[in-house]
Amino acid sequence: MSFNPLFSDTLPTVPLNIHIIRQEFPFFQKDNRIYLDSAATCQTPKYVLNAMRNYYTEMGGNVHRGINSQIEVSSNAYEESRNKVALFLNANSEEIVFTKNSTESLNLIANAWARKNLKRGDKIVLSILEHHSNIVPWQILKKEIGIELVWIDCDEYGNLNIDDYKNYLKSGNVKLVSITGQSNVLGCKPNIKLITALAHSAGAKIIIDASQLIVHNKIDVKEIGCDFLAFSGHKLYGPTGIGVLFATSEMQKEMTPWMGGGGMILEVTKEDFTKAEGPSVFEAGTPPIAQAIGLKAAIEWLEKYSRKEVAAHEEKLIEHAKNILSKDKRINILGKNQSGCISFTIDGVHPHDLSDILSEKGIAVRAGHQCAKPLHDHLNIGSSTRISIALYNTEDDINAFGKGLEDALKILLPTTSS
Amino acid sequence: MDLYAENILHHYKNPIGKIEDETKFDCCHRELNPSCGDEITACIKFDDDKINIGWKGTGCAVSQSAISMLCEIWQENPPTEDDLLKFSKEDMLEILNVPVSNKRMKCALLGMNAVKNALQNKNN
Repeated sequence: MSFNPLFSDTLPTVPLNIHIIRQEFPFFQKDNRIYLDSAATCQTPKYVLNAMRNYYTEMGGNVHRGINSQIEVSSNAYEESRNKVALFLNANSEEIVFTKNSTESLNLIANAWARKNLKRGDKIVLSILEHHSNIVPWQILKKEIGIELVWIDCDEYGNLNIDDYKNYLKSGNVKLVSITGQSNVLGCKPNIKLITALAHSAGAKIIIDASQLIVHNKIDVKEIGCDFLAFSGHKLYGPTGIGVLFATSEMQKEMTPWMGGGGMILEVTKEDFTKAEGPSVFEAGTPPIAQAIGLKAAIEWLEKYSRKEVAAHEEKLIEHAKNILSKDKRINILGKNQSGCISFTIDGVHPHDLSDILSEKGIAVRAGHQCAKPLHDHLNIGSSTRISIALYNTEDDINAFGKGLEDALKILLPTTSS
Repeated sequence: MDLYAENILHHYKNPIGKIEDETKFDCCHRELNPSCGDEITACIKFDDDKINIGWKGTGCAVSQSAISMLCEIWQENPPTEDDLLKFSKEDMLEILNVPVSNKRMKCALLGMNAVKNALQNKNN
């Protein structure tokens, strides 16, 4: 059984004309920029920039503090953003916590839930596909409270070994499973619906790291059935500095505040405090207000288009890139069922050198361990080069990359040919 | 001159001073470049007042050729401890003799820092 993305094609949409869409991005109006690093961060459309500008020029208040009209309008806009994110995920608004990014969302779970609810000897299951942000928070807990980490391996194509996973669950003491919805290196999508169902049948809770998946697939948290889900705004055409943690109301009852301050209290005395109710209890301090408003705008902007058409466009680009890379026998493509990104290695060529030369030609790609060093170790490679795409990329971008790659290899591998 | 000058690529493909066995040296240090995961382990051996240097590691053409070029010079004229202490970023860039942008500076200095930190480890 594979995870079937759900597409919101019932919403009104506008035709997917990439050349018109590119005009909505100030970033693409300068020079001849070939941007193939959207898995790291997406470019931001004017619609989002204007929404944030509107907060600063027209609203200008803090949220949920005191009584003045700036606070009222800003608080309303901030909460509307929460409502929009909830609708986008098919969640309830109370289940949406705003954070700084996915990393903070995952650390929030580690500190506000796992630290209190797990004990020495309990197990957390991770997959070898994980980004460092879904590894290190658990390693910190391992050091501090003695939990055990167990890893689901993958084959060379990125397929997770589900039999191993089932065996871990059978072995007992698995309290939490934390899995990516889409690898930021191999572009493959684990079957999160199956992994969630298996976790629950063993009595474990489950986190989905949707940092990459969120921009390429419609996500329905009720359909997946997960307890937590994390993503960042800046990988969804939104601003940096805003992330989302979906935590079910049931899980929030088991969570305690991990940061204290304004906004998360009902009352404070010299002796003690009473915590607020709802997601704001995990949003101590002035939250990223403009960024939350920007994230709402980013979702509105993306929802103008048919997600199905967007997915088809992106799939076509990845196939095109794959065809170009496959023609050069010196290139080793990582994985098989890539979506959103494609990574590769070339014997004798270090990714940093390749990306530096491409960068000189105005082509941005990612090079290095891609914040997934355990996966690179598992694949027995030091580092890799990745191209990743978004809605605004064109076949011309991929062709320019292909030409740039060919030229770079003439410098770096002068004595071999494709 | 281009960053990927012939000399840089020659050293990258034919590195000088690479070692297999760290145990033959007096002290070593593993220097990491966290942005890319590249690493160089530099090892030093004291021979009276002179120092012999070897290294191992993986990385890009810039980091690997930089340490290789250092070893080429130091194999011909082994440095003293004082020479290593005084050796600077500017000295390294002069030896590389190619334009190094800020984003590649860590690569260029990885080997030099490994050697300097290996020297720091001599009393440990």
